[in-house]
Amino acid sequence: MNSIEQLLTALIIIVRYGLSNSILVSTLAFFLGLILGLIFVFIEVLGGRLASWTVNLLVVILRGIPPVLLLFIIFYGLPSIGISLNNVVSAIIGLGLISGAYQSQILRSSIQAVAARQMEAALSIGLSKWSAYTSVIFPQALRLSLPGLVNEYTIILKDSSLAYAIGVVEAFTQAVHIAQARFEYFTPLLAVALLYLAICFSLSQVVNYIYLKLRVLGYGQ
Amino acid sequence: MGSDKLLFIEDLHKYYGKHHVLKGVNLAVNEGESVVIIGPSGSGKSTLLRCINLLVKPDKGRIVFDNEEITTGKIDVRRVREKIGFVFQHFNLFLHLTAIENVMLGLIKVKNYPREKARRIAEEALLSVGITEELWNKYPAQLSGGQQQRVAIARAIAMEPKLLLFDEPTSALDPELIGEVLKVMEKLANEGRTMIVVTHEIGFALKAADRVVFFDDGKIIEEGSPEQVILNPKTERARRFLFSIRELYRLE
Repeated sequence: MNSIEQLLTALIIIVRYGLSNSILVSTLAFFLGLILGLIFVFIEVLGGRLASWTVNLLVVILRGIPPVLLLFIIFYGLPSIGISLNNVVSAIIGLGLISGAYQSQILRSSIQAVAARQMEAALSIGLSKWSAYTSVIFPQALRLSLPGLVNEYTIILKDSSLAYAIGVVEAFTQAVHIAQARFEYFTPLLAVALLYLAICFSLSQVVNYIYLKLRVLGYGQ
Repeated sequence: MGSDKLLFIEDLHKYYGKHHVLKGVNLAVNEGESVVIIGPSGSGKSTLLRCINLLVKPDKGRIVFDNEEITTGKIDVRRVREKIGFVFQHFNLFLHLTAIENVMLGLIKVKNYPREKARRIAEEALLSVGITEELWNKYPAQLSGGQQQRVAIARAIAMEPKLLLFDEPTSALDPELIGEVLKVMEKLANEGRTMIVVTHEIGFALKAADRVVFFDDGKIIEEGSPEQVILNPKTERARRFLFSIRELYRLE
């Protein structure tokens, strides 16, 4: 087998038997993170001082934990207090929690970018604070957040390779398995690297397209 | 207090931290009157307007609007704001909504009108400020500054307010776009709407104002007919300010 063939077969095996877990873990973790991020930011913006202080503390803690450590805590640590989760679920929850902290930051900075003048205008036509947020501030903040959120997805996708550490057979794990079977690491690792790169590059094109659309709406000049 | 007084402001004070922005403002505005407030930047004119629709909470003094004191804690702020239209220096249109959706939002969310009725009113309001059908579905960023400000005026008048507040509505516009906005404002004044306009446009004041108020350092220094205050001010401060503005216009 020549090396191009080796690369291609590795690629095919990784796509068929590993990639689906990578996408599953990162996509579910992303949406868990989005839900958490929205909850965090709602509490920060609309909640009282104590509530938003608590959320801030939680965000600082989550951002301060290495992802692989959190995965270990959830998969190996929680069983000792009676919570046993399988490795895929553990990976989704762990990566989702951390991403929630980052996504709340992305959403918050967009809200701050929209807020002052738009809020004044919304209140001046008689909208309640709640309606001002739901009909004016949040819809714009979400649009502004889109590029950041897509970027965040690419970060989770790459971080999902950490699930290797708790035995989830995802793309990177599959590449390592091929390498171990062939006694040759370079080609399978190159294959999986190209795969991550291809996905991240396509998503970066999506981000560029969103920026273009946002400019039409008058954001970010 | 006479019932023809729509707005009555008494000894209004506002502090931002230690900065004393409004230093005892007294102002009464009759139904149907258009009042122009002129004065140097940073003198508290915008803050005064924002106090009237309670975007800014005054620290001391009284505002009575539409026979109701609005400076007490018990007031329903939203009901007051619904009756007062506000036009901002930077238009503040909702960027994610089209021109017509900008006008419809308050009608739907505040007045609870059905969509069809809201659309009809919005179309009428837009036409009355000269925004024609081909612009209705454009986003603010696709409109010129003058068009944006006219949409903002339509958004305010569609709510059928009893009072319109304009905060330097032409200051952010390119010079060639100022005229179209002033023309709309003149029309509104001639229709007998009650309005308070903060502006440096003395031409507009002479043509459309019933009364001109000169404002400086947090207080009203002088008020009277447009001709009197603009062309023949009594106080030294007003004379100096107006002289420099008139000088500017002569040079143009």
